[in-house]
Amino acid sequence: MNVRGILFILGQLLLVLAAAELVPLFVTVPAGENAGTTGLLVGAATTAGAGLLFRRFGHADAELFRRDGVLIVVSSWLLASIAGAIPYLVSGAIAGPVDALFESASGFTTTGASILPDIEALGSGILFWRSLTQWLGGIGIIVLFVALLAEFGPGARFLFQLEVPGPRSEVLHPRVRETALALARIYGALSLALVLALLLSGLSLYDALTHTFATVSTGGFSPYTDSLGHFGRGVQVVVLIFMVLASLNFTLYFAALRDRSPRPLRDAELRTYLVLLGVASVAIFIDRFDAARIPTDLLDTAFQVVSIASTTGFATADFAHWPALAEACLIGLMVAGGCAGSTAGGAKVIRLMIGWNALSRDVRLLFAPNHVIAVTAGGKAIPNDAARAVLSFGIAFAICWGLGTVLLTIGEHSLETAASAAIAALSNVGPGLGEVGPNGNFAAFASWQKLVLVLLMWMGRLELFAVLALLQGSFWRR
Amino acid sequence: MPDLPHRMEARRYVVMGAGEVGRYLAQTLSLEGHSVTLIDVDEGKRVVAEEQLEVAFVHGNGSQLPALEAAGVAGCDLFVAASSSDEANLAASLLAKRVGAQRTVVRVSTAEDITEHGRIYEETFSADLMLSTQLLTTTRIVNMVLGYNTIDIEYLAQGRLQVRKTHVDPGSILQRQKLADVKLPGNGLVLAFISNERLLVPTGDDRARPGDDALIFAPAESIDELERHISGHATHIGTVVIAGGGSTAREVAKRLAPHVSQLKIIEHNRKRAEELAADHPGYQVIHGDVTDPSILVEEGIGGASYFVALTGHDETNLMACLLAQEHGARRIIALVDRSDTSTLWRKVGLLDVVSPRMVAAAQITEYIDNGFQRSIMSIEGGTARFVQRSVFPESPAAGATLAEISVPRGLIVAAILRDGIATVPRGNDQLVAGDDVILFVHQSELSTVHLVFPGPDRI
Repeated sequence: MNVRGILFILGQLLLVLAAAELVPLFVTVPAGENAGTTGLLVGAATTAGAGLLFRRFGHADAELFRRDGVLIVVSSWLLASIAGAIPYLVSGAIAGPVDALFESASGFTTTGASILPDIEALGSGILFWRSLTQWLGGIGIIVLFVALLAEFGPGARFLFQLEVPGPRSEVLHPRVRETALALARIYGALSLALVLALLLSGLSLYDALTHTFATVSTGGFSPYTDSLGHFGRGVQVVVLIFMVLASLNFTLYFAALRDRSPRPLRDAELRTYLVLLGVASVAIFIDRFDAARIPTDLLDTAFQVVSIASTTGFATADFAHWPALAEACLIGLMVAGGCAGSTAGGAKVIRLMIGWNALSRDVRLLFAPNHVIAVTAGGKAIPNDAARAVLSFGIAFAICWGLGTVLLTIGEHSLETAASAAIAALSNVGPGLGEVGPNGNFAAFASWQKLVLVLLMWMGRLELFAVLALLQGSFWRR
Repeated sequence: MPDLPHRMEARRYVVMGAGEVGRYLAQTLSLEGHSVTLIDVDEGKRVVAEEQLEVAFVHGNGSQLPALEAAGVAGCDLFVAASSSDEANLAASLLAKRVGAQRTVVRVSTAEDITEHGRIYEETFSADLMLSTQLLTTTRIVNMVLGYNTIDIEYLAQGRLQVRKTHVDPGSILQRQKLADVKLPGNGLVLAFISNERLLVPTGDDRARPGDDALIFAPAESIDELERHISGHATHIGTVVIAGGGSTAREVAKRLAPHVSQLKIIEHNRKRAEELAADHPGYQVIHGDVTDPSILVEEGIGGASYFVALTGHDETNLMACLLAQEHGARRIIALVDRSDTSTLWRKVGLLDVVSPRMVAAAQITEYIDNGFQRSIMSIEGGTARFVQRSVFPESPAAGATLAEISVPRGLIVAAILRDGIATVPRGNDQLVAGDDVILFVHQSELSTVHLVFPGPDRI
């Protein structure tokens, strides 16, 4: 383990985060929110101090191996969550340290789950920080970092693979920094387009920015308790479109721009995802059909389906009180999540496709043992070890969800609440059903259960394996 | 083959590689009274060459100058590079030309080298003819299975376009109807009829006469459809079982896959089977030994329309074919390396055997018999050929539709290459400056090409 090399990089990363914590000052200072200003300044100072300390003990050009990479990625997300919690605590917006950590981790992992009963009480500046954490976490801390600083050598490609969601990791550019920049540019362009669209829809710059942060990162924090219900239908449609765009594979955009052709968008995963959205919308619409409310229901259903599948978690309707089939569909969408290489969470559609085909291969081998069948996705063969990794991921995902559910039922929480809270955290969706539905929050859980939820969000964002690696004894031995 | 005058005079040939192709070729040419020298790295081949084949033998590496000089390549009529190494063959061709060989023929193994990159290789290594045993074999087998009559294929525009010389069967629509009445599928063309060694660019009133061949032309993806339409063999083909999953099997499978309802490939090498399954998820790949009756029966060999043995081992192929025959496969095709055993195969009832080396050697002798013209268009020596031209802004064709350009009968705008896509145009298609056109030009019209499409040749 190259401790000094790891420390140096984490130190750099903390300095970047400290700079980010200064951004919401543009909101707090003009608004005269002194508590917020203090909180952010203290947060930035502590984070920067820690960063400098890390750098002091670290060493810049140390060689990094895979274990170091895993440790850097996993601990960078943990450190970011801790650093991000300081402004909440110091400003007094959130009282308990666990609650502050929960809110911060929920932001960075783009979950959007909250323990706050009264969101508006935080003040506009702290809420701006809360929104900004999602935007930083959406593209990925390491991706942002590589794009900004180019601190890494060739080893950065591995860090990338740990952080960019999905089983495939396309090489967009032979240089890692260029790849990071390409992703960041697409992310930035999507963000800019949404800000402009929201401004044109009549939102204030503050509302446009905070909701852009929450949408393109598929986070789902809104500075308003009634979430997207706060705005008119036009804004909801704009946000709906961008939630879909943010949950598609960014490398497809890259390829389409590079080839100046829409052909790369004819992707099998993308098509399956859109079919999934369509089928779920129709099923839910029929399940809660009411002739009197057809136009509202159409938009609400589509919005909720996209919001959940993209793992954003915005709400325009209280889906926690929808009929059972509709709720089951939403849980299914939470598991599936968006496309690989997007900002969405969940198991990812491509993994479901590969997993399904791997299953059907094994079933076919039952009656035709001599056949050699390749596991495919979209007509392309998936290497055997990649297919196996998808199945392992499925098992790990199920175990995490199951264990999480069991732990969250403790203390008189309903199974519906516990199971939906666990998957909402693991898939980085945000709201679940029951007590943690769009009108509820996660405050009722005990402190240790909130830490379990933080763990689930963290594992979900890093797609399990990197965090699970730390549990392997051999990881820590030479 | 026609008895053309040039066959009478004694010629000097140098053949590199004393394998099956080289030996067969050397023997044929020597029997015709020509002087032949064989080059091979194996000194052991000397006895066979000098005593059985009556040809001169040079021991050495044909891709190195000393051997080429010793074999008297300078001034020879034809140098044939037919060793088992593609690289050596290509290098030898280049060297032989530099030293003074009049023409060279190069044998390469993989089909793609010809279908996609053939022209670049030909230019780079100064080869007058490149041929791939794999490609020739594949064509033969596809003919047998699909009932096509392909005699030869030429690839244009990096393989995106094909011209095929195909024999017109008595039942073919080209004999039954006037060309104007024949509805050709896709965007195919009938460029010419060839009868009695004469090439005729047809008008709408013409039809093929008995015994004619036709030159048909279409983009690679639709030429099979065109050929099937012309051959009149539109019968549906059920299951095809291929034994062996090597590169020839892949080529055959690729050609057959769109036309058969089920394609099964049995390969005994696990890794190779997995690679095949990964590259072609549409095929049914079976891991197993083709000489194991239970595998063949389990895969329904009895109901198979065709069993094609392409394992690369004659013994395995023979065993597998006998088993397939025993268990009721309807038609059996085998690839036989040792051409001298083919009578043996016929004795046990396996009539459809293809010998890759014989096919290659036959192609080379045909090239020689045709007066060193590539057989496909060179009937009586360059009666028609393809010309690629760019459409320049000042060209009379720029901006005009095909119907507007008055081209004589012997000049056909066969294809337009635009933005990397090759299309076969119709009368109302417009030519734009910057396009490349592929023209099929009868010899009598070669001078008109300049008038309509000024500029240098691109082929």
